[in-house]
Amino acid sequence: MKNKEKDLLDSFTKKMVKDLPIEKPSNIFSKKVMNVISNLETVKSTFVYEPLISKRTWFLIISSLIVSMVLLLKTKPIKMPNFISKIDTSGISIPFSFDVSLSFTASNITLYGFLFLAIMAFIQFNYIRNYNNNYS
Amino acid sequence: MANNDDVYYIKKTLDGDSASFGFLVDKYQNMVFTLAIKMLKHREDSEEVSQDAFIKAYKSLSRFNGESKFSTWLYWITYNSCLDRIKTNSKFINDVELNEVTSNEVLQASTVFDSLEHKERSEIIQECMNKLPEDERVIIHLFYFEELSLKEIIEVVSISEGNLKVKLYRARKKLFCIFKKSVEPEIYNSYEK
Repeated sequence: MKNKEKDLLDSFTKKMVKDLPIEKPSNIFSKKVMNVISNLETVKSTFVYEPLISKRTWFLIISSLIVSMVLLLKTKPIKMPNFISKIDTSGISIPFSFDVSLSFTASNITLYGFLFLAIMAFIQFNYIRNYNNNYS
Repeated sequence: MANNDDVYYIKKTLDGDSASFGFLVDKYQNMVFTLAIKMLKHREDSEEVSQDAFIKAYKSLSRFNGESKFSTWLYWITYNSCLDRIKTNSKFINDVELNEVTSNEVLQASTVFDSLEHKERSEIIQECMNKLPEDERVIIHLFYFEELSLKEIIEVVSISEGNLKVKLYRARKKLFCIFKKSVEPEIYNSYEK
C-alpha cells in the first residue's frame, strides 16, 4: 500500500473512531467497587496474621541446629583446604570453649550433608517468601 | 510518570485510607469500562471485568512503582482481565477477511461516512469495531480513541514495537473493509448520483 493510501486510511480511521461515544458503566458501579474494597478491609482487619512457625519455634530450631553443628565439628574436624590452614589465627582468641567429650563420631559426609541442608533451607525460605510476596 | 493527583490518592490509599481509592475509581471508571466493552462487547461482562480490574489494582497497589502512568497500569490490568475472560469464553472470538484498499475507495467511504446521521454513524462504527478481532480492536481504541502513544500501548498489550505497528496497520485496513461492506448500498447510491 502506498503512503497516500496509508495516510488516508489513518485519517479516516481517526475520524471514525473519534465519533464513538464514551461508554459508561451503571450509576452504582463505583459504589459496588468500593463496597467490595471495604469488605476486603473488614476481612483483613478481623484476620490477624500469624506465621506458621512462631518466633519461639524458630529460636529452638536455630539453637538446636547451632548446637548440633558445634558438637559435630568437635567430634571430627573437617580437613580445611590448604589456603585456609595457612591463615595465621594465633592472634585470635575465643573467649569461650566447647570442651565437651562426646561418645560418638560423625563422618565428613554427615558434616557436609548438614552444611548443604542449611544452605538449601536458607535459599528455599527466601525463594518461597519472595514468591509468596509477589503472588499472594 | 504518574499524575500528581493520582500519586496523592495512591499514597493515601497505601497509608490505610481505602476511601481515597474511590477517587481513582470515579476518575477511571469510564476509561476502564470503555476498554472492557471494546474487548468483550457485552455490558454485563464488561462491568464485571472492570470491577475485577479495580479490585486487582487495589490489592496490588503497593507494586505500582510510578514509572508509568497510573492509567497505563490500570489499562494493563484491564486488558489482561479481559483476555482471561475471553480465554474462558469462545463467544468473543472474531475474524475478518482482509482485502487490498485503494485511495479512491477510502475517499468514497469517507464521503458516505460524512453523509450519515450522527446516531446512525455511531451505531455503524460500533458494529464495525465489534467485528474486529479483540486484540486489533483494543489497539485501534487505545491509539485513536484514547490517543495513547505507541510506547504506552506496548506497556499495556506487551508486544514488540514492530509487531504493534503491523497489527495497527492490519487493524486499520480490516476496519475499513468492514465499514465498506456495511455501507455498500450507500456507496452504490453515491455512484448513481
